[in-house]
Amino acid sequence: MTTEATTYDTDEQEQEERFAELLDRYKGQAGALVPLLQGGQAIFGYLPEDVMRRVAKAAGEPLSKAVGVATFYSQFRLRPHAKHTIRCCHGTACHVSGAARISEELEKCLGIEAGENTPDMLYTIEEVHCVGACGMAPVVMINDRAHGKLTPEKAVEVVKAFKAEVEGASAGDGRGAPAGAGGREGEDT
Amino acid sequence: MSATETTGDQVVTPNKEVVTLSINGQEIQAQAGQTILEVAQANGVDIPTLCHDPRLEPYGACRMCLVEVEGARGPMASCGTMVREGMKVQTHSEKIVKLRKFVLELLLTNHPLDCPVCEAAGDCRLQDYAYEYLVDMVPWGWRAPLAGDPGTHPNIAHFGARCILCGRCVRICREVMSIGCWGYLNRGYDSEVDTPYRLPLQEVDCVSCGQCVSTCPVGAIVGQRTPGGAREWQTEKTVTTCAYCADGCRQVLHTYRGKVVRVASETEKGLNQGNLCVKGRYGMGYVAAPDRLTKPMIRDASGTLVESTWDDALKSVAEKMTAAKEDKGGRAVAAVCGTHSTNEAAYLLQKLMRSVVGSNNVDAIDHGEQAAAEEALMDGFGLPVVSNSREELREADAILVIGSNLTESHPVLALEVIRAVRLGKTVIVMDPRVTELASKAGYHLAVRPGADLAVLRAMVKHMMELDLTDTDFMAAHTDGFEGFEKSLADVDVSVEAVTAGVDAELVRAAAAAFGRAGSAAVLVGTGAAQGPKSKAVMAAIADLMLLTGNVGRPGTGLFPLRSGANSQGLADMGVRPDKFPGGASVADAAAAARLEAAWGMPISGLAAGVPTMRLVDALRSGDIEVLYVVGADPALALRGEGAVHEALEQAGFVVVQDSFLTETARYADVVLPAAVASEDEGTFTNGERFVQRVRAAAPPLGDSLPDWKIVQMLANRLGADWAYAAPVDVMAEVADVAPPYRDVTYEKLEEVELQRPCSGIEHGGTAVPCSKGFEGGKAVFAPVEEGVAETATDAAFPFILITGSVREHHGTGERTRRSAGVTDLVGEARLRLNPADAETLRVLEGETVRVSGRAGSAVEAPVSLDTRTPQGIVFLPGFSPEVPINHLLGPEGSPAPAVRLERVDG
Repeated sequence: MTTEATTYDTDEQEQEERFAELLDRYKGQAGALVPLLQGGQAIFGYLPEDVMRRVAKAAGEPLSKAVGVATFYSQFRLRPHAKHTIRCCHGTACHVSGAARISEELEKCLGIEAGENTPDMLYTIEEVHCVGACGMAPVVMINDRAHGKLTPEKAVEVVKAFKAEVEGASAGDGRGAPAGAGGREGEDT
Repeated sequence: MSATETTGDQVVTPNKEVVTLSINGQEIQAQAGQTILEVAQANGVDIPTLCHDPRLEPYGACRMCLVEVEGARGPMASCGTMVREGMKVQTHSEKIVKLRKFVLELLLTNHPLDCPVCEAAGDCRLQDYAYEYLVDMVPWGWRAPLAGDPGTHPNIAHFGARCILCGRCVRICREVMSIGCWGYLNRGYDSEVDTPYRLPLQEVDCVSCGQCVSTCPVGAIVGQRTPGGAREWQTEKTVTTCAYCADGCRQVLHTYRGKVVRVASETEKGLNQGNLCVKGRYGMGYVAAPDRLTKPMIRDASGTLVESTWDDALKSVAEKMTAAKEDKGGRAVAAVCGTHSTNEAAYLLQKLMRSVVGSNNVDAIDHGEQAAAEEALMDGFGLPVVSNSREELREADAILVIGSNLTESHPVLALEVIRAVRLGKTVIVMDPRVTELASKAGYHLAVRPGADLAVLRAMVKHMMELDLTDTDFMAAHTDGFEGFEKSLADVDVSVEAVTAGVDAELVRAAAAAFGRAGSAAVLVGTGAAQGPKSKAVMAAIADLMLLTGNVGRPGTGLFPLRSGANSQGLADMGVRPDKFPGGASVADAAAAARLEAAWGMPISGLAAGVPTMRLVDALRSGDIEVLYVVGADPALALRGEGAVHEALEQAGFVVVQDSFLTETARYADVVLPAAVASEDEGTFTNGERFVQRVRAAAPPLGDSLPDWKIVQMLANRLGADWAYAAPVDVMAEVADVAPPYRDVTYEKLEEVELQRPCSGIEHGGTAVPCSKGFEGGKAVFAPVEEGVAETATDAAFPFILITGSVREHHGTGERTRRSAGVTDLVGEARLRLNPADAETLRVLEGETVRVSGRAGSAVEAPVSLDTRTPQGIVFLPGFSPEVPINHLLGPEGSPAPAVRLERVDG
């Protein structure tokens, strides 16, 4: 599936219940900060401020430490995340193969900067450090699929094709994602 | 601090293995467990550091302290490497110097060189080392010299661009303060130090202690720029002792053009080791307050205070005192002394009252909150003072804190308890509110106000049930156990717990933890030291210590907390209506005879004077006609509902000697302008009996004079012929007449803080006075009293009003209210109210309520919603004349009052 998206629980009550359960499970445990952050993000899709505060409290750490850890690891997101993630690899191999120009073109194409969401909350661009596909450098990942040996032009083509697929499906069933994208495969549990 | 290395006559040096190593070819002996850095510094070898602060655990981040160790794989961080036998260390080899220079080049590439406008210039490690290692160019270019915005905190400025990521602020806020305002953001080249979400400091639990300011090695976290400010090399430095609480912190006052412009602290020096609190660091504004008194004043016929001369003012006071004395005898005159008067001034004040006026009516404004502890400890241990000191508090396995919001009332002493919490030791907090310490401690016994005695009964009973008693200690050192045991016969732990409103299992667990500790200490604050059962509470705590053998050893003991800088000193100097200097009773004929001989004036046969607790009555009855108030504000401090106002109105003649027109000065007939502590010389004795110097950093403002000088002038007006040229002469006399101060001299105080009583000049004093048994033979168990001192609430008066400290203010607030550094943080006294109660009353945060007591008195205060205050209880601090809480408190010895709250519309 090329357009597989990461989806999250949308039922707020269910989210709250699961989060309370998570906090309970790790309460008072030393070194629980990272699993708590991971669990929180899996439930909410990102780590809102009140979630961070509750995680810090449950872990018995100051908020400053929780925020420090969450901003240190690239796996954590402090802002809500759009439905589809486009990751531009800036690892060493990609960097020397022109990742900077690819990022620039994709940002232009979607009208946002890296780290931002499109206003329709469909796309996010992220700059990441090495996705582990150096042989295919330069690499762009769209959700879980890697596209390699790109030029800036080819990268824009790939993204445009993906967009067409997403938005075509959206027009079709109104769910904002192509068929097969609504499952829970991407959920981080 | 050699003082704490001695216990009685026995020097305690931990028997540590000695290792021999060489540093730069020089053979050096050191103790195993020391780091290379510590050993080098102790031997005069200077190793540069950026991320090191002795208050913190070694971190090894900055790589400036790298040294070469023969045989090691690479350069070692000397701050985190322990010395070993035979180690060969090079601290300044060519390779090391090159590495350090490289580190500095990397740092300077990214550091804005805005040194000409940086607060830290002249006091910046990066600047020092760049100069030392001659970093005159960096290969990667410089950063533009823009430091950015200082942030909105009134005292603490943060310039993130200047940060070198040493992490000292992050660590000191977590390790020392246990708060954690600062943290890292992001990773690698993008790393920064900031608050979470870059929130303003005021919004992240910051207590404005400025520990981060004191540790920042560069100009990233500094004091906010002040208009008259100046930098390191422009200011003169004066080492002195803080004049607020009884912690006795060492401060360094920076003076520029005759004004104190900054308060700093010195790492590894003083009892505080470089830590201060918001008052100590940012509460000096009062020194330059626009309403400082600079001229004596006399109330004229129209009732207005008008400026006068010293001559006229003193003449007026002397005439009134003489007249009262001739009319009714010396006992018609009374003096009341504030807790920031120096020992020297306090000594002269009581000498004036006893020998010149002929009255034992001389007392401290805080006697009421100290009386129970002094009496109970005298009865139990034969020694009415704290039995240990804070450094050995670190050796305690368990610490019990009763009736004190310690992190606010004694913010620096509290750091020792915070440290114990962090190290996983047993900390038990007994307090109705969820204080900061209660929320961090292992056990919080949320006792109902006034019911401390029930918890203590339950705790001692449970310890006896579990056999957690020190029978050897009791047999050797105590009497009266039978009576004590009998008094507990009918005590039921569960019943007591219900009375106190605390879970019985929690009480049992806390008692077991305390009883099982190898050494345990108790800190007891004024919250438990007042009220009808206060003496019984103190006696029960003393019993608890005796039962578990926690007296007379390091890491044990009872700390009755005192709230004023020289509260202990006042008691020592004889500023008590029933005690001479040194503590002898005024009924002790031999002691009186000795003083008569020393003073050359008759004092024998004077009846004990009126204690502060009975001052209101004595003024109302006319027994006291002339009231001489030195550095205190009885109008706000004395308890007794409406009676305080009436008593001061009725007083025949009131003299106020202070730096400000206090609330009491409204009733004054003469006002004498006093210098503040930073303009005076002398000593304070802190709550742990450490005698420390107070030094003048600037001359007295205007015509104001130091207290000791004013008292001497007045004494001479009244016919004495005192000729003390300086406070040092007074201390010489104190050493002569007050046995605990026998060996205290200013020369000795230049080197160390003396913990009195001093057992010999070669010693730093006595850390643990009871280590060789108790004065008068054995300690005595007191039978534990029944009952509690609960407040009777009902539908009409449903809330219990409690009072206490807030971190930003001190006492009745005369000085803190005039210091912008604290009033910008906390400007008004607010009533803390649980949100659930607020909802019932339909009041919102910030709205004003009227608080009325049964006697009809009422005050109005804005509400602050506070989940730390339980339902049914409200808290009001006592620092504000707008909210004179003493009008709601019953006379000394009354339980906490029941009050009614009503919303004030408008």
